[in-house]
Amino acid sequence: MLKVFDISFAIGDKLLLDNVSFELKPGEFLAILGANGAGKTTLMNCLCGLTRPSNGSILLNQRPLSDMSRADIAMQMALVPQQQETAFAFTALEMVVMGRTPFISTFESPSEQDVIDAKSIMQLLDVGGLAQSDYNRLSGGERQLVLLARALFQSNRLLLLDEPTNHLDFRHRYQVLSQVKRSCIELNTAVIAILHDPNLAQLYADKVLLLEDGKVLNYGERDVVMTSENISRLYGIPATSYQVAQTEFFIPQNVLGQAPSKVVIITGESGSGKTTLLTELIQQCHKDGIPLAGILCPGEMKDGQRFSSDIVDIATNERCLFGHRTGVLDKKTKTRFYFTEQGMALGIKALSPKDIHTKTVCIIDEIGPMELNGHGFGHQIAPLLAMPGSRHIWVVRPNLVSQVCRHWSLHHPQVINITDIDVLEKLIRFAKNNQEYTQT
Amino acid sequence: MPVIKKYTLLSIQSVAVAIIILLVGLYAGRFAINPSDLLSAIQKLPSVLIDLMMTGQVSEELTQQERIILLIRFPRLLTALIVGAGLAVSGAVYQGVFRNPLVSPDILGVASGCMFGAAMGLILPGSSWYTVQLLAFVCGLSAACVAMFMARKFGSNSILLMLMTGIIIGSIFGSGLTMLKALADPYGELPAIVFWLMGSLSASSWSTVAQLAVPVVIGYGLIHSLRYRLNVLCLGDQQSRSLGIEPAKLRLVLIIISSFIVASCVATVGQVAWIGLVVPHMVRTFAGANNMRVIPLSTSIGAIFLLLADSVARSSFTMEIPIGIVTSLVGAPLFAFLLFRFRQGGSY
Repeated sequence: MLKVFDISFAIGDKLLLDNVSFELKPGEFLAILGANGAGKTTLMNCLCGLTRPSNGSILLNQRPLSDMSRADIAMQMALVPQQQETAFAFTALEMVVMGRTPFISTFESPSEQDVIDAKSIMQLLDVGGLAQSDYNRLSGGERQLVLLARALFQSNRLLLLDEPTNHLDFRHRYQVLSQVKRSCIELNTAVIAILHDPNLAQLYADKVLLLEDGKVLNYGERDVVMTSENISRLYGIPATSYQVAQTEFFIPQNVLGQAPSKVVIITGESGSGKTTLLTELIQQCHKDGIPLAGILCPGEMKDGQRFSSDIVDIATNERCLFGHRTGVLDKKTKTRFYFTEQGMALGIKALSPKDIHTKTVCIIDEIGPMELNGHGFGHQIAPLLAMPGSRHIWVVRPNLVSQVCRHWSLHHPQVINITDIDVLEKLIRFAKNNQEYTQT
Repeated sequence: MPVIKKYTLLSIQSVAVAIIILLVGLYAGRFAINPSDLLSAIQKLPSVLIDLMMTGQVSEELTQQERIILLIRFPRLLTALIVGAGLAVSGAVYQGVFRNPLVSPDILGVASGCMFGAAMGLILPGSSWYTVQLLAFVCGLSAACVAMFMARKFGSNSILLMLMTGIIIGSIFGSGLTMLKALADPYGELPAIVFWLMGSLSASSWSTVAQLAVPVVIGYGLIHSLRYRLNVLCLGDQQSRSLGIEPAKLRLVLIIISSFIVASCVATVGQVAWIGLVVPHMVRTFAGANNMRVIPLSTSIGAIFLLLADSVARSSFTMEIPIGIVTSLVGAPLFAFLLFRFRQGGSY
C-alpha cells in the first residue's frame, strides 16, 4: 500500500525529519507517537504530498508520490485534518460531498448520485441526522465524524488522521477511533494516525512508530514498540504500565502518587570535589560488592574552570575523552564545550536501561542545562527513572537543582551539599539501600 | 431534493425580477413614453442592433420615443445590469478565494489602479473617451498583477501576504491619483476626474455594452463552471490539496478572471462601491455558503441591485446623482443590517 524510504525534510539547516522509513499494508492501523515538535505534522504533510521531502521516496501502490498528480493521490489517500472552522457556513452534507472532488473533472460538479452516496456514508457513521446542519455549529466530535465521513467517501483505501482525538470528549474519542478501526477491519482500509495518547495507540493500533526529534526512535509491531522504557523516553517523563483486560496502559509515575524513584542529588559549586567524592564512593562500593552503573566525568581544571573532561562508564570502566572547553557558545548544547562523538556514545551506552540491572545504583555526573534542553543525555534519564526499583545518584549544580526536580517530576528527592561532613557515609548508606534512609 | 428545487426556483425568480425591472426601466423615466411605443421599439430592436453591428449607423426610421428607448435607455440599463452582475460575481469569487466574507473586489488594488489610469487618461492631451477607458482597464489589471507578483516574490503565495501587497499597491495608486488631481487643471480636468470617480452610467451606448459584455460574459462562464472548485478552495490550502486540487493554481486563475471583470466594469462606469461586498453577503444569508448557488444568485441579484440603484440615481432628483453615491448610500446600511442579523445568530 504505502512504502516510505528514508525520507528527510529540512528547513534551512534545521533537520525536521531524519531518515524516516516505514511500510503499511492494507487493513493496518499505524499510530505515530511523539512529543510536541517531534516532527509528526511534518511527516504527515510529506505523506499526503503537501510538502516534498528533501530526500528519500514515498511509494503509494508502487508509484512514487512525487510522480503523481494531486487528484491521483487524493483518489487513493484521504486526509482527516485537524478540525477548524470554515470561513463560510457549509452544511455537513456539503462538506461530505466535497470528498468527491478528485473524481470529477475541473469544470464539473458532483451529481445527485454523489449526494445520495454521501448521505448513506453519513448514515453509516451515525451522523445522517446532521446532513443539513451548519458545519461550523457542530460540536467537535460531530465535526470529526463529518470529516471522517468525507475522508471515507473520498477513499477507503488509505486514511491519514491528524490528531483525530483533539478536543474530543471521552465518548467521541472512542467513537471516532472505533469507526476508523471498523473500516480497517471491514473495508481493509489502511490508516495512519497521529495520536497524542499512547493508550489510544494501545487500544487501536497494529503498528507504532515513535518519532523523536525527527528520527525514528522505534518502529514495529505495537507490543514490541510500546514498552514503558520507550514511552518514558519519548515523552521525557518516567511512566509505568499497568495491565487492564490484557492491555498494557501507561501512566506517568508521579500521577498516581507512586513511591518516587529513589534519587539523591549531590550539589556543590564547580571544583568543590564532587567527582572526587564519587570516585571514593565507587571504590567503597566495589569493596562492599554493591553493583553500580552510570557515568563519571573526571575533568581537568584551569583558572577555577573545567577545561577538559573524560567520561568513564562506571560499570565497565571504559574511559575516553568527553570534551574540552572551546570558549565559543554552541547553539545546540548552549554550553562552551565541544563534546566528542565517542564520548557521547559511551555515555549513552552506559546510561541505557538495557545494560543496567534493575537493582543497580545509577550515577550520573552530571545533569546540566544541556540535559534540561533535551540534548546530551536528556533522553536517557526518564527511562532510567521508569525502571522499577531503580536508585540514582545525580550531580547537579546548585542553581539547577529545583529545575531538575521539576523537569523529571522528582518527588522531594534528598539533596546533599558537598560540604556536608557525612556526605560519603550518607551516599554509601543510600547505595546499600537502607530503607530508613529513603524515609527521610 | 427540496434544496435544489428551492434554489432553481430562486434563480428563475431573480432572473424574472431583473427582466421586469429592465422593462419598467425602459418605460419609466423623465421623458414620458406610451406602452405602444415601448412595444414597437422592442420589435425594432433586432434590426437596430444588426444595423449598429454592420454599419455603426441606424438606418431605420425611428420616432423620438423609440430613439430614447433603443439608443439611450436600453444600453444604459444593460450596462447597469452587466456591471452589477460582474461586480457582484467577482465579489463572491474574491471572498471565496480569500476565505473571508469581508473582502471586496478592489482588495488587490484593481479599483485604485483603474481610477489612476482613468485620471491619467483625462489629463493626457488628445486622449479620447476610449483611451480613458483603455488606460483605466490596463492600470487596474496591472495593479492586481503587481500585487500578486509581489506576494509571490515575498516567498509564499499565501492569502495574507496577497492582502498586504494589495494594500500596498492600492495605496501607491491612490497617492498617484491624488498627485494627478493636484497637477490637473482645476477648471477643466479636475472636475472631469472627480465626476469620473463618482461613477456614472450616463455615457453608456451600445458600444459600451458590447465592450463590457464580452469580458463579463466570458468571465462569468468560466467562473460558473469552476464554482464547485471554489467551494473546495474555501476550506483552505491543506484541505483542498488533500482533496486533489492545486490551490495556488486555481486561486491564480480565479483572481485573474475576476480582476479582469472588475477592471472592465470600473474602467467603463467608474467607481461603483459596495456591490461586490454586499450582494454575495446578502445571497449567503438566504442561500447558504455553497457557491453552486452563491455564484449564479449573486450575479442576478447584483444586476437587480444596480438596475434599481441606477433608476434611483436618474429619477429621484432633478439632477442625476452619481451612481457610486447611490450604491454606497444603500449598500452601507444594508451591510450594517446584515451584520446586525449575523450577530443575532444568523450565519454567513
